Amino acid sequence: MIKWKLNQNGYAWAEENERQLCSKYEPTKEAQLWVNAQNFSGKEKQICVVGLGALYHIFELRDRFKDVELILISSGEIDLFNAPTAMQIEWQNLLQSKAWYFSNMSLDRIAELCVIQDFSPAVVLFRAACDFTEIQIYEKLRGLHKGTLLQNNALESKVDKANMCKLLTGVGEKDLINIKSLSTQSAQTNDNEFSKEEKAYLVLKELIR
Amino acid sequence: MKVLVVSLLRIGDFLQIAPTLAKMQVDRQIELHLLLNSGLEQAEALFPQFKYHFFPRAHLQELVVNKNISVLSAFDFLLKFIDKLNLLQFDEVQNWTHNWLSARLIDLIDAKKYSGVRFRAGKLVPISPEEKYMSEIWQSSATPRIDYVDALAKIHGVQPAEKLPAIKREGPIYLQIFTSDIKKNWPQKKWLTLASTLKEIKKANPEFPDVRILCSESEIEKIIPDFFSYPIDVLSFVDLKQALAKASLIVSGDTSIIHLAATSQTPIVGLYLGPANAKKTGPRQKSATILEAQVECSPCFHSQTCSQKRHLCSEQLTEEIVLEGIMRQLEQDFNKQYFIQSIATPEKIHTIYKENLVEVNT
Repeated sequence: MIKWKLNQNGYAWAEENERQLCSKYEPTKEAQLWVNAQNFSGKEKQICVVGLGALYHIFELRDRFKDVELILISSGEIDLFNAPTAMQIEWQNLLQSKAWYFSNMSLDRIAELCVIQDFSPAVVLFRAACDFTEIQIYEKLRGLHKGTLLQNNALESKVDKANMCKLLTGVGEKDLINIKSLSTQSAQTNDNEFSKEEKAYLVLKELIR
Repeated sequence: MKVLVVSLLRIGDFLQIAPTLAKMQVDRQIELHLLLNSGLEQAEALFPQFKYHFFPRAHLQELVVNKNISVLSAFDFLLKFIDKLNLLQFDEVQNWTHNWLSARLIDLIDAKKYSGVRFRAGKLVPISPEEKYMSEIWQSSATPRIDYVDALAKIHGVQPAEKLPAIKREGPIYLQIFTSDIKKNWPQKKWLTLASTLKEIKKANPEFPDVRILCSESEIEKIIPDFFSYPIDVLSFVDLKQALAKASLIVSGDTSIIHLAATSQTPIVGLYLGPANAKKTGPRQKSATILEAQVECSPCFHSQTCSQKRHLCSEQLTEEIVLEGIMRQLEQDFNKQYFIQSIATPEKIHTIYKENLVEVNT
């Protein structure tokens, strides 16, 4: 279940199972930076976004690319039950514009759909808040190699000690994603002494709060 | 005995605590190491008695967030930095920063003794009543019983450096126009009126100090159109310290310059607007004149947008009040401490002298 909260500046932010779905402090700025970082050419007819976070980046994308068809994919259905009313309305308006929303679909079904629909969108991932399934969906849509499964497994179990060491020693560097998508959940419930890597991870996490 | 003090804030925060750290070093006869944010390298020349280490904060942030760089490089870089630090085998580590980053970082540094907010083995060490008080008071707009430096000194069980009086000098009056936060800025047009008035006084009275403008390199373009007829100084901290050591006065908002001036015993007129709270981070000087606005929303919070349609606090602080503060500071007996606060009626100002409110005519 997604919990929606208000920060000191009145911005709504959300978390799901202690995983932040957007910046606690400046979600709109985060959304702007994310759209900037995608380096869209402006010629795209369709953009496929995997991972909906707290929707701020989707709204930003719609604002900037009004005529582009958006294909929005999330692993589970976005839960706006407790979201601010303005956000619910904006989401409904967005769905009535040029936007398709898919959730709770198997990987194969999504790939199949892409083939049937014959679309070839620019596929982007909202790394700041994506989950394991969304990484898989993203890679499938991008036609990436299945060999990344090891990294994905390591990422899913996050800072679980054994996997952390595996992540740091046995995994190729190039496929690791942004640290913000890691979760500290398992680390915070671990009663044993933290490894040096886990402590370092928590320091790095503070740097991007 | 080797003690590492972690202070991962800005130069102004460091300048506030530096005299107390210097006192601690002498009192306890210790080898004092400082861990500061990179970018604060100028501190080395200002306080050469300490040994410095610089936390590569910006570089690590870049490694972490840049999507084209593996996150592993950040781990590698951070752990090598920590390994190097641990080779020094500190006896004691003190956190003078009071934020989660430094508290987490200290968890990686080996020592026999720790003080200040910190994690051990990944868990937050229960905080002392002093730390709790500081956390509560610093997150609210409440007025603290003690200032930032006194509170930190209490947490670490050290004696804060004594507040020094200003020393009367013959050099120029420096006006520092900008602060790091727009909410703390006094309007540039008011600065210009003030500078012109001081220039007029100088014309009528040749013994009156010259007026010089201070700014950083990035501010110079904003300054020049209004202040082209004034000498403008863009100085490094080391040069600035020397300049302040000869100055008759510095007029500034809540900036690092004001804290540097306090260490140089330069007479100070501080314009504390927006989130600037003199009771928390006022200059540590016995005779400083601090001008604050008496508006309901003041002091506000650093991280929040101004809640008003107009910048009420800077509107209330008129050029006349600042001029009054300057003249008083130039003429006063330096053993007194003044807090002059403007109130809703601009015809009058209130002088708070040693906690007693005394109404005076302007």
